[in-house]
This record gives sequence, structure tokens and C-alpha cells, in this order.
Amino acid sequence: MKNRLKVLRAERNWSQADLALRLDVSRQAVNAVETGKYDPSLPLAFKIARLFDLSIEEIFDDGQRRG
Amino acid sequence: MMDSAVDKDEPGPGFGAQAGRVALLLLAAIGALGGVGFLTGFLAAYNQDPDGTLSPRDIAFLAAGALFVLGCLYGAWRAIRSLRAADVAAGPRTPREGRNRRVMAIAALLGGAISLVLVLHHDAPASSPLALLDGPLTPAVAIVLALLVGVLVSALSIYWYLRVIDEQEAAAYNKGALIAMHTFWIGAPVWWLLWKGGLVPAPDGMLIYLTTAIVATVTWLWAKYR
Repeated sequence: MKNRLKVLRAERNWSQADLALRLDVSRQAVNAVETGKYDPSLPLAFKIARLFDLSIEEIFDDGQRRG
Repeated sequence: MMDSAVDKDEPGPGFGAQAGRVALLLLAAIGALGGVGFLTGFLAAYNQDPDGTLSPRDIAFLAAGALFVLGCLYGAWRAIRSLRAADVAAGPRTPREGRNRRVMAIAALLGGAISLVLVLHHDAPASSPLALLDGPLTPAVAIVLALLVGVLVSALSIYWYLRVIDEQEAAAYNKGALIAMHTFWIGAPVWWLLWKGGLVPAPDGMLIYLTTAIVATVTWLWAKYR
């Protein structure tokens, strides 16, 4: 699944370690989500969305969006 | 120009190569353990022989074994150094990662202690790590080791799985467990059927256990670090 996590992180000048600390996950987990190797669970997706003050759809794209 | 925090952790060579480093560390540790077992067994057999003398061939075997162990230890040291460097480059560890490291260190110490007891209390010469694991133990040592594995390692595993790791590692671990379970479910009856047909030796429980454990670990680490 595609996502804008890396861009959003870059806008705040956060490292993967910074983001991992805020989400209470490992640096590997942030890396795996950013590179699309791991799709986060719904609770983690909500946590990410709240952290960036966006909706889940504004961060993650499953390629099924209409319009 | 000053590097931003984002530039620092791109393009992520650390994570991509972590699996190789971890694999090298694991292989080196297993190799060192097997080599020590071989040397111990060889020397035990020599001590049991009343008129035993070390022939040039025996000395060559011992020297090769010692060199192999040293090579494994060197490989492990290089892997640890490389892991540390990649870790520093990736930025500070999160508290969750710190807890994970501590649990892994305790597990490694426990594994080392159990292996050491197995090597020291092994009666028969160990020609291979598998022979070392198959050897007899005194009841007292067996009870202590069974308690260590059955209670302490179990408690540590449950704590690690439920309280320490994050969901990405849990997913990787689950994938390893699933593939290992199917390796066992399919591999064991296939071996058993071939044995019933007289085509292969009788199924070896220890070999099946080790294969299952290796498949689980390799899949887990691959899924975590790929």
C-alpha cells in the first residue's frame, strides 16, 4: 500500500527514529511502513493519522480510491 | 549544507543489510558452538583411550577445529561491530527497542548457559552438534535444564511477544511460526511415509525440531529486516 509517511515526516524534519519514538514502535517498523513492505494495523494507522492531524485516507492509498 | 534528519536515515542501507548481519551472527554462533562441541568430544575420546596418543592426523583435526571456532568468533565479532555501526547510523533507539535488546541479551545468556551445561555434562564424544544434543544427561541436570527451558524461557518468550515487540515484528514472527508449523506438519509425515517405504532412515525428532526452529527463525528475520 502506498503512503505519504516519508513526505509528512520530511515536512517536520523528523528522522525515522523520531517518528518511531512518537508512535512507540521500532525504527524498522517505520522503515517497513514507509517502504510499503508492511501495512500497519488499523490502530497504528489511526495513531499515525492523529499524529499528523490527517485522516487515514490522506496518508494511505490502497489504490481503490474513486473519482 | 547541513543534513536533515530525514536525509540521515535514507536510503536505509542499515535496514536492508541487517538481515545479512543477523544471519552471519547466528551462523557464527551456531558454528562456534558446534566447533566447541566437536573439540570437546574429540578430547573426551582421547582421554578415555588408556594408551591414546595424538597422531599428526589428530593434531591436524584439532588445529582445524580450533581454527574453525576462531573463524566463527571472528565472524561474530565483525557482525556485531557492523550491527552496532548500522544501529548508530539509524539514530537513537526507541525505548521499545531497548527493551527488545535487553530481552534478547537475557535469552542469549540463557541459551549460552544451557549450551555450556550440555557440553560439560555430555558423556559420549560429540562428533557433531546433533550428537551433542542427543547425548545422555544426569537426571538432576536434565531437571534443571527442563525447568530453565520450560519455565524461564517460556515466561521470557511470552513477555517478549506480549509486552516488548511492536506489531511489525509480531507480524514477522507470526509469519515465521506459520511457515515453520507447515514445514513440520508436511515434512514430518513425508519423512515418515518415505521411511515406511524403506527409502530413508527413521525420522529423527531432534533434526525435525531443529529444522522447524531454523525455518521459523530465518523467516522471522527475513520478514522483519527485508
